[in-house]
This record gives sequence, structure tokens and C-alpha cells, in this order.
Amino acid sequence: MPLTVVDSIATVLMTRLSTLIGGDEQTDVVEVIRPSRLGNYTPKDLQIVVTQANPDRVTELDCPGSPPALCWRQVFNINCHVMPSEMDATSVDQLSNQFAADVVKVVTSPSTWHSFGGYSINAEWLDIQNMQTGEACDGVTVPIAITYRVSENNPYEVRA
Amino acid sequence: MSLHDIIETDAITVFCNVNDFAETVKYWPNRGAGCSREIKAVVMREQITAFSEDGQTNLPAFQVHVANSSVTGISSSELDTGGDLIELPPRDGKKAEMRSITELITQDHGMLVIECR
Repeated sequence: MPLTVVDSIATVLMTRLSTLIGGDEQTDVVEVIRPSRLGNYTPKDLQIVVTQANPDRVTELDCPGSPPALCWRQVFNINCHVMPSEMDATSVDQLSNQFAADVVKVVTSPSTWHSFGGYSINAEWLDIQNMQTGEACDGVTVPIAITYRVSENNPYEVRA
Repeated sequence: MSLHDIIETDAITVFCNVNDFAETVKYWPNRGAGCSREIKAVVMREQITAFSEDGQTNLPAFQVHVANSSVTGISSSELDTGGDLIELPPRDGKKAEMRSITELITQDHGMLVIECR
């Protein structure tokens, strides 16, 4: 099944995040999830849940042509769940900082990391937010804004 | 028998009676490592609710009432909301799934009310 350009970008992002599972970084992630409508996961310590914010049009980066290329900016929220044992005395802020740092490291590891396998024209990190889930779990949301172009009449077709 | 004892006995024989509203679920202590045990619980299956305040992630919520006991329920001293799990059907008639215990909502000597997501 062909993927839309934005889903191809998401696939590259998920693949890079998955290298934190049993990887070389300090944070040993247990799973990386893109949730279903009813929530196909249960919160766990050192879990990543990737969600999408509303996409924005970036009209100043559209390109003329036949068909023209439309530019979009998609924010992916990388939710890093931190739920250590009640007996763990480590600062939860320290665990969250470390988690966010390792996420940034693996996503930016390729030299042309911002192109996401040729599907995007730019990517930038936005402000990191503390997760607000009450007592349920701590952690941070690391948002990344990815800008890409597609054909006006075919969102499956990437445009330079 | 003291009131203290009656509360403890009622939690097991009255509130968590499987002939009434309780059901058998599995509790996985020690953050899911090691052995599980079957316990009696009254499970309130709530609708899907936002898990984070930004509304980006939604999860079903389960309010689970159990005896405060390390034998028939979950004792408040052993509970670890940083990873303990309960295996329960997300919907009546469906296969049981592992759900994390995310919050201790209320507690007394007889019972615990915990939230799973």
C-alpha cells in the first residue's frame, strides 16, 4: 500500500526512534508507538508515543508548476513517558532530560537528518513541554516540525 | 470482631464477591516481572478519555476496586504505580489485556481504588 508523503516521513521518524530500543544511548526505550483511535497501548516507563498536531500550510514555500507543489508543515509530538518505580530515587526531571536528549540524538544522527529520507525540505525542533497527565506518568513532549512539499493533486508524490 | 476487622472482611466477602459485581483479574506485581496472581476486583470500564491534557493521546480508563490485601487483592504496601500491571478485558467478553496501574485514587484499610490505563 503506498504511503502519503507525511506517512513516509512518520515511518522514517519511527525507525530512527526505534534505535533507542536496546541501543547505545543511556535511555533504553521499551517501545515506540503510533496510537490507534482507541489507544492500542498502555503507558509504560521509557515508552515513546508519537502523535500528530494539525498540519499547517506554508504558502510562501509553494512552487509553481503543473501541477504546482504545495508546502506543508507537520508537527510530530514525540511523547516520552517516564514512569519509574516508586522506589526509584532518581530525579524524574533528570530522567526526562536524558530521554529528550537521546531522542534528539537519534533523530538527528544522519548527516542530512532534516530531509527524512528525501521526503522533507526542512525540520526543526520546537519547545519541549512537560507532560501533563496528572499522577499517571511524567515525561516530556519533544515536538519536531517537518516541512515538505507534495503535488497539489497527489499527496503521495513528494516534490523538491 | 472490631469494626476494623469487619471492614477488612466486608471488602473481600461483600464488595469483591464474584457472584455479585466483582470479577477475577490478574495482578502483576514487581512492575510486571515474575509471577502474577488472580484477584477479585470490581472494574468500572470508563470511556476513552484524553491521556494528556493537550488531547493528543486517548486511552481507555479503568477504575479498579480491590481489597487492600496481599492475598485476595492488592496491598497498599506492595503496590507500585511505576509499572505494576493488571490483566483485564477492556470490554466485557473481550480477551484480557495488560494495563498499567497509573494512579492510586483512594485507599483505606479495607480497599484500594486504583486507575489503570
